[in-house]
Amino acid sequence: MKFRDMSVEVLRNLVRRKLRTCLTVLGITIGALTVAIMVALGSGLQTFIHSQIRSIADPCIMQVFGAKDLPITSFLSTTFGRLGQPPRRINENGFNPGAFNLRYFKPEEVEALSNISHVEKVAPAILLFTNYIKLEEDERKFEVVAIPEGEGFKMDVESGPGFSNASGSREVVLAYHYLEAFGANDPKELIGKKVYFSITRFPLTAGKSLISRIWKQNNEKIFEGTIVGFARKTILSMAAYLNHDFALEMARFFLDDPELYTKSKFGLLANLTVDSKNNIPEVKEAVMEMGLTPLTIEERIGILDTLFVIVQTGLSVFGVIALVVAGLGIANTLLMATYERRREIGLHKALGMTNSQIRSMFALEAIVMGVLGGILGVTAAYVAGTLGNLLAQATFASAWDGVMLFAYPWWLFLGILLFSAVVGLLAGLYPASRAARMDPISALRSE
Amino acid sequence: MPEIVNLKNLSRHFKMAQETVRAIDDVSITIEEGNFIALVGPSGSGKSTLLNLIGGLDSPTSGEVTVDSTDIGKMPEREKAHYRNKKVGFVFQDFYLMDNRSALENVELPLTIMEKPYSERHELARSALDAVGLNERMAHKPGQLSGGERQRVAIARAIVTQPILLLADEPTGNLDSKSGDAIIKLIGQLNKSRNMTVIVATHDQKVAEKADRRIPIEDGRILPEAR
Repeated sequence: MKFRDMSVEVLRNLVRRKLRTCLTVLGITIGALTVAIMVALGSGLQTFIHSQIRSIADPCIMQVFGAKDLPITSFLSTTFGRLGQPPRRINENGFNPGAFNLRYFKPEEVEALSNISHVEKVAPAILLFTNYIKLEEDERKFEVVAIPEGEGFKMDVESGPGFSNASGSREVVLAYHYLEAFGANDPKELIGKKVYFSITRFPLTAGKSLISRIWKQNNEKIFEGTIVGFARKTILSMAAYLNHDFALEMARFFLDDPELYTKSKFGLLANLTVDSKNNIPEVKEAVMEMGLTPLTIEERIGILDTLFVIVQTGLSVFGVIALVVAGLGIANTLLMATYERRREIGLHKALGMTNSQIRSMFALEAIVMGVLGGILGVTAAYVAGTLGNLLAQATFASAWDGVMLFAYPWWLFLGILLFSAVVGLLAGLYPASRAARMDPISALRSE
Repeated sequence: MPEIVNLKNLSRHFKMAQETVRAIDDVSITIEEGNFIALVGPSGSGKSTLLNLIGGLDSPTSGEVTVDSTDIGKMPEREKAHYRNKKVGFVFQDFYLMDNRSALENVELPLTIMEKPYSERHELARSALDAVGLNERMAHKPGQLSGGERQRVAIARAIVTQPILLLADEPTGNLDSKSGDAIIKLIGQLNKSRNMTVIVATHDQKVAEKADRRIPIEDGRILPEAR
């Protein structure tokens, strides 16, 4: 029997029991829809976060930790110890998990980092928390995240001159969203105006007693800066970028240590500015040779990707389970069909159909049901995703132009169709082989 | 006339619980091309089993079934299917038509399995239905046809591939006597006009009388023939 004729035969058989076929296909549809939606959501979010990270992260900045392992990788053991494991002896370069793998850089290490070729600047990573930001002649206080210059964030100044780099200057580039917050229509209205940051000393720093810190006055200080620009719209909508000297001044007050972030007290984390992102691998290698741990923007994205893959896989498992259960539905439908169509199978055999043709016919029925369910599933997922994107753009994601919450990579449709077909085929194997093995005489005699 | 079917010491035994049923027991007969044969015997005598063995639907326990010089008893399953498709036409007591298809589509089925092109199988099916006098009822589904007409469709389906053997198992068993007579007359005409060898299994003496040769069978064994 030709494939075309067999296909017609298969479609006829499926149409014969419309409701049953529809219910079976619906099962596959739900499974395929779940997988497609989960993967599309994961992929959409991943693409969005990727693009946002790339838009805000400076690819030429590399962070360096003073340990062999990243603190993030040993987070669990840092918090709880290695669960159920006996304590290990600490060797020369090792760290106690409870120490969080962090330590101050030594001056000679900072020197050595500066001497790596292609490294333009080695700066300490500055820890700084602010209470609020306020515009001059305006009593309203606003939320703010202070980001010191050179911390790895890309700051594309869209309006205004930007940092002058003059020694001792106190300059601020604000996120674009502050225009609206401060009630201005044009950035020019705010360039050159003063802004005030409130900082409270971190109460747990060493040097003075905790009680005096909490109860005594002068724990809060207002720092005055000048707006020198507005940064391009990114997800960092509450960012206030500070020039290095200004940030240092604030950070030293925050941690109550005027010697902090100098060569002798460099800090826990170093930010390396590399002349070109193409030289990042070379610099990275040199840093690793020093027994330190570099973390590039690509590695940060990689860590994020791993998390996405884990979440996506976890969510997709539900869809896969639904698909497999729907596959059992196909097997059940076809098994019933082999009983109902015993005479027909016997007749086909009497008229010359081979066992393998009977097997192929039933297997094709299963594949058609699987693929049909897959097509309906991905179509429904596409429609739902498109509506979801429109809804997101109209509501909570309106700040980002063209954001796609649900993204459909080309392989998703193909992959789900293929997977649905495979589920169908596997589900159809047993009924197909049962039909093929049927004795034509007893099949013809059956009621 | 050259021989077309040769059965040599043919046996077909079935195991049923502890017992062995000898459905066909050491049968040897020869049938010549163009003969109209009636296998006559009561119910359970082994007529249908013998037809199934000759038609390649069943395999012998021992002995040989040679049709058109080929021992079909030893054929692998795939070749047997091709043999049933090309060389044998089956007519059953219960017609076995597919209810969801027209008469024409039912007749086309063996040609579809044979992979004949659409236009050719359409033409052949029309001419087979014409040969059984159903040219006016081609588009009708089995449910819209009388018992006699359904059996005519089944006969058209059996002859559409122009087989060398037409095997009919109680073809009048489900028909009234008038329709039954007409069907036997039709089978007789096809036998003469197409020189097609016909073997009919029947317990109806009226049907048997129309045959050139009557082979009585009882308890799986052939009895002396009455010509």
